[in-house]
Amino acid sequence: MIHATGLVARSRTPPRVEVGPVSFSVDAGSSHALVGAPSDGVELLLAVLAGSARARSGTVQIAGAPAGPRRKLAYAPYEPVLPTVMTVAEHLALASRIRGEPFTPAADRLAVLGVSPLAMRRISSLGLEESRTVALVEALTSRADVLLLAEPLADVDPRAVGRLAGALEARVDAGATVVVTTASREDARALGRAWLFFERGKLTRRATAADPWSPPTGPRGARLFIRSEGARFLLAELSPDPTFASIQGEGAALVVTGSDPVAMANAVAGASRRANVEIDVLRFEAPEADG
Amino acid sequence: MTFAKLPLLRLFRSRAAWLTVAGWAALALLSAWRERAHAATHGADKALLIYASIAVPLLVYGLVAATLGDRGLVASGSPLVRLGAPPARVAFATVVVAMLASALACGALGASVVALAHGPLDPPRTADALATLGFGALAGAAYAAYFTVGAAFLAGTWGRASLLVLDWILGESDGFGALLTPRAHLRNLLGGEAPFEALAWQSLASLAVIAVLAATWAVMRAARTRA
Repeated sequence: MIHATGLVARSRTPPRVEVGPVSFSVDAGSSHALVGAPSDGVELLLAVLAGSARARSGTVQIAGAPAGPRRKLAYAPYEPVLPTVMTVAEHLALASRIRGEPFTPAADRLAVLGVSPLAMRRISSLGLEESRTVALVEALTSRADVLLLAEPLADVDPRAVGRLAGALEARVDAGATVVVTTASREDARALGRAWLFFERGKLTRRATAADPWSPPTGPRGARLFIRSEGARFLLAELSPDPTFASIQGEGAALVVTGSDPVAMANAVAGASRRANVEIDVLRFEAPEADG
Repeated sequence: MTFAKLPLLRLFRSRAAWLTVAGWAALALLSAWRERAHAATHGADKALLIYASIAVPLLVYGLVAATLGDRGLVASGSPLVRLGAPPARVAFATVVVAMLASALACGALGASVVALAHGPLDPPRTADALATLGFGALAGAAYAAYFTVGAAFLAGTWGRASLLVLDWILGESDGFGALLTPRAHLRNLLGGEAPFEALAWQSLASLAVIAVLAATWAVMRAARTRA
């Protein structure tokens, strides 16, 4: 369904990101996760597949045609482009008309991710998480046969998180071809049936369900530095969390390591809320090489 | 109609659009009322100077900004293009909405200014108002198309703003460059100085040509640019 050959792309606006040369194929009715951070080029690659970013060289064919917006392709980037002047219901109705699909009430479509109350909200009044959820609802409930979704489990309405993986799986089972990007290896495991790992713009590893992969350890693990006056309270909250491979504390500083940077950041944010502790510094550091 | 819905909603739901129309219309009507209060013998002619030189270009500028959601022509259509809508049809619908709204607003405002400021030595009130309605509507449409060319080439407000400045600089003179601006032709039609000694009918035709060519250019440019 999707064939990328010798693809090279470079973002036109800061931060500068490059990806490629990369070649891969995605079969019809399959689900692929492009695993890596935005700085690894996965979101740029997704934009090239969607036709909203230009490749410097190489080709992309989707269902035998060059990449580009089309009625049977649904693209939900991390920052969705929505008509802010419309209500969510008006947007979904207009999207159906443009895609040439029969009308379905907005509340029914939004119910797929449990966010029906958003139907009458003006899009300009939505926060990022709600906007992203609306864009995902449009993609998931459309009849598009190719779905390109950036970080579908990150920064979405909390009501939608538990339903997203199931909704996506249902679309794949119904024959849709799905490509998602994610920086979280846990999310990648939940969303994909095949995985392409990217590092600094290069495709470093491929894996399929028949060739399962385990969370990497060692050099690819993440190391997070935290400074907080309430470090000892954070330590108590973080210690039982299996997200972290190690936790070291000294005074107001904590250094934690793990394999999933997104899960680690979320866990620290949750611990900070639960312990009611303010964090002064939170930064990822270069992981130490295995000795 | 599907592709016109977004620019139409932007117009109708934009407080900035209504304030723009109300503000520039109030300026033109106040100047007309002032001429009437002073019982000027050529009241309509004088009031139309403010109408043509200030109210029309800035009113249309505001309406085009509202229609595009204060973005470039390509970016304004990207929410629809990303759903698979043809870029050329989206851009065409947007440009047509801007042109029709501008034609309606400028035509009605021109007729109102003439009716209010009419002096004893002006042409008959009804005929003058009807003529100004037509000229104003055509100038409004031409200005809207002209501004969308700028919006098709430069994102944000830069494209529109640069053409507004160009219209001001070139259009104020009576040289050859003035022939390229809606300002000079509207001024000629309303009884002011002619650009490059153009006759009234030539200015009328020029406004129509500017409207059609500029709209076509803007749509073609938007159709070729990636959203």
